[in-house]
Amino acid sequence: MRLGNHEIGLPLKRLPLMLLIAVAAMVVYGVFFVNSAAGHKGLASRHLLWAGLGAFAFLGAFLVDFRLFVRAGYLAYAAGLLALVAVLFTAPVKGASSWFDLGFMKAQPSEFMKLALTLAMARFLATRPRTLKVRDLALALALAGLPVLLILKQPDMGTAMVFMPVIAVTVFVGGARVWHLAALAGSAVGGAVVVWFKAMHDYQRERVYAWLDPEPYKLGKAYQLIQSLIAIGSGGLLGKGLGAGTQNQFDLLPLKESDFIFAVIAEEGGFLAATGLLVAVAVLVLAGTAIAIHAADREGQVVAAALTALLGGQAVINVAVCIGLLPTTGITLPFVSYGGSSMLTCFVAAGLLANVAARPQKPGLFG
Amino acid sequence: MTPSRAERFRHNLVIFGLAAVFIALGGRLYYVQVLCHDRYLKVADAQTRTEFELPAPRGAITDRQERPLAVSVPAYLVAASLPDIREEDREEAAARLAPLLEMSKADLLARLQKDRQFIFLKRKVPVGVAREIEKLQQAERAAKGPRPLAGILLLPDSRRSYVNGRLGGPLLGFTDIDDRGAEGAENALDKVLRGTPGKWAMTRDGRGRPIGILEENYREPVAGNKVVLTIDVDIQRKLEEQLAAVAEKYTPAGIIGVVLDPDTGRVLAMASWPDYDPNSPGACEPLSRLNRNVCTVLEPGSTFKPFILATLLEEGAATPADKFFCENGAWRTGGRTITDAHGYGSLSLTDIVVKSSNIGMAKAAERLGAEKMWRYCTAFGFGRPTGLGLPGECDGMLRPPSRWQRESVHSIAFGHEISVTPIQLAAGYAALVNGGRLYAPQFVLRIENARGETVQDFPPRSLGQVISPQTSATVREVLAQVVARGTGKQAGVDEYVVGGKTGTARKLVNGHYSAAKHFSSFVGIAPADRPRLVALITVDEPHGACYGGTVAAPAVGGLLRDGLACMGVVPRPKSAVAEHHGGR
Repeated sequence: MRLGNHEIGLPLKRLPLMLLIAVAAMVVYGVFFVNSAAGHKGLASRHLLWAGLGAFAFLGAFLVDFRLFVRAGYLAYAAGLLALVAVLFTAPVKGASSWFDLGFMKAQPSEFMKLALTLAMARFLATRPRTLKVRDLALALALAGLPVLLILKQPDMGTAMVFMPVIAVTVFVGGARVWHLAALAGSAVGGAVVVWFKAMHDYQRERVYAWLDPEPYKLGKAYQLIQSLIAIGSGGLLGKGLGAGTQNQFDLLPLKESDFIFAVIAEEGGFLAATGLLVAVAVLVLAGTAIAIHAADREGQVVAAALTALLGGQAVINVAVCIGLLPTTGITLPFVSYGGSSMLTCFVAAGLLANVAARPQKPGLFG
Repeated sequence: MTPSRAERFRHNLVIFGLAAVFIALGGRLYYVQVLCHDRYLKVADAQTRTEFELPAPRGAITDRQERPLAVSVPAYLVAASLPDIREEDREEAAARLAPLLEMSKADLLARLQKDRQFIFLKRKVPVGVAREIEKLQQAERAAKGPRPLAGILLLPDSRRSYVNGRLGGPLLGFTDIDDRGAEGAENALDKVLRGTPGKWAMTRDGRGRPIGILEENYREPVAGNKVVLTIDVDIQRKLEEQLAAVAEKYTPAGIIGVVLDPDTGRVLAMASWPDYDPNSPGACEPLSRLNRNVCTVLEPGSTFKPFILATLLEEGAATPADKFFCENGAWRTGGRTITDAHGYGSLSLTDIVVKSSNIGMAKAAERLGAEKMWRYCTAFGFGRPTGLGLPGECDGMLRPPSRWQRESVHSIAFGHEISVTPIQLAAGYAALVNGGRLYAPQFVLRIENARGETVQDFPPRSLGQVISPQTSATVREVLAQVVARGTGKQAGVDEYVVGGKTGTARKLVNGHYSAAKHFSSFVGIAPADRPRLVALITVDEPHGACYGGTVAAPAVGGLLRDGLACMGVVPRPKSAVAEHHGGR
């Protein structure tokens, strides 16, 4: 990777190792702080179980050449769309139809769609000319837009938001020109305005108001944000100590083991631990970016870039919500938050990333 | 492979984009967590901590022998932690509590459905009721079914108990819901009786459930001081018995009664009728809560004559034997006619008081003049509050001589054109008969702290020598004559020599003296030669009789006899009784 004429000092051959270190660090964060947040509910051991299952998922996604997955991209995409349509007919839980109850676990088709869309986009873009034509760009956007609309229908703003960096990065890497992207950004703003006035529910709009000025909403829409800010702010430089955060231990912080696990980290581990986690996220993003740049073919580039955008983007959005930089949306912190479905998706994504890094040439099935 | 220019541009775009994102995250995190740390730490502390006040027990009020009059007893404050009661159980909770707390189910349910975490249901709940609630809670736990009462909390509280019921109600007053003295002695002594509340702090979780107690924030409440009154429960009871008997016989609008120790000015008993039970002050007519001894203003009428007698003697203006012509009952002077109840010819000054001649007293007062009369009235404490210290005390009315009219000397001589409160009149009589020294009436003997140590004593407070002991002795002798052979005969008792003076004053109704409405009074002393008690009873608008000598005197006589017996004063020997009766 180059910045101007200078090599960035990352030893590129070890990058898959950096990726693994970053993921391992985030998993360790999760094990400690999920235990602190919800150990008494017996969630800590289940969290460990999911992390273990995640390791197997990682291996599964790593062993088979990713090009095979890409070849199955459209099929996965179609299955995902079907599931997204089907889930709309389930009974809403907490106001949203997002989950299939499989008995032993709850499955979120939008999680599967994150991976399926990545593969489908890679399949589509790899066969287009190096520099995208507008028509191809439009087709790519349509491909990505359909599942996003279905997810918005659930409604699940958070997950839909996580798709945005993935879509932007895939078309960027897939050959969209800078002015394409600028036009896209412009129409995204325009679209946002239309969505704000036409498509958003009142409660969703209130969340934005509550984010911009939390104080009047402190017992309502901004309760989570304010409690999160209090947790983070009261943590200070060194934190209150593992298991000693009052916001966490006294249940003042809602969703503390999942969406707001970062606030727990910041409260009990302080600025140091919180920054450490941000560094782990940054290393993961840099490792993924390097893998994308050095991928042997366009399929690899698009897949690696999209997965990096998926993991990094979700982590950044989650942290930004916790510290009040983005309106509150319910998404998890990859590898850290409690939650089986999210954990598996993240490990599969990491496995595919490592897969791309490990396969510079077109090899055979298990090469 | 060397990247192309365009590719390098795209790489740099990515690098700068990523750098911007992470700088934004890190910067915001630093702002919230490091720069705003102190502010958020305070908020975090505040929302997990709840401080409670621990009520301090209010001090007791006792009589002069430390027999309890008002005490604070343990009680409970019934509250509800609403997150612990499920929505569907609230109706059942209200239904179970309503009969125990004596509240309506609808009222309770409305409270239980408020959008709050913690709510008071009722305060000052007796211990027995709290035990009942506890039993119900235990039964719920044992039954393992729904637990509507699980969130009901019983917190320590206290309740004021007036152990003698109605006895001394208007004197003692009562406390309000917050344990503050609302009326009477409770109000006057509130600062003394009230303790210093303690506090404790508790940490609570996000649903308001208690987590733990913060030991370092605990402060023990300090109990309030005990007040020992000058009141004697036995004499108070005798007084109220007399008032009740008078009330039954004459169905008056009100009765006032007070007993003083003449040598100190201490109030031994003080009562008003109608009275009320301070244990349930809300359940009575507001007028029955009046302490009429301090807030009734009345013209003293003939009960004022001994003060003029004392002034005449002290000034050397007359002797008890000096004769005055009493105009056979009607004396036209200064454009009006002064009348007596019975017509008399010439009477000695002693007999003027004994037979209560207005004409004779008016003529005698002419020897004094306005200036001297006013000076002595003032010296006896009239025209200003006595400083007793009970709430609502009135001044009475004594105009300065510059505003007296020509006839004022006559009027004031028999107790008109001057208004007094009963406590002023009783305190003045104490000075008349105790050797001539006026004491400020007092109702507090001493204040003790919770450990029983005396914090403050209240020695008798002398306001000066008004008349000489000799004059006082003569006044005592004349007052004894009033009872022995004059208007106050009905105050006489066998056991002790009683003295005193009657008074029958028409009430001023809309500025005119009423023919039908009277204040009928008797002020008595006993034993007459060395008085240990001064007792006053004033009956407001008696029916069936109006003379103080008829309505009030027997009650005062009985009261003095019983009071002296309570104090262990030895009755006079039987032979003395015979001699006394023989001399009549």
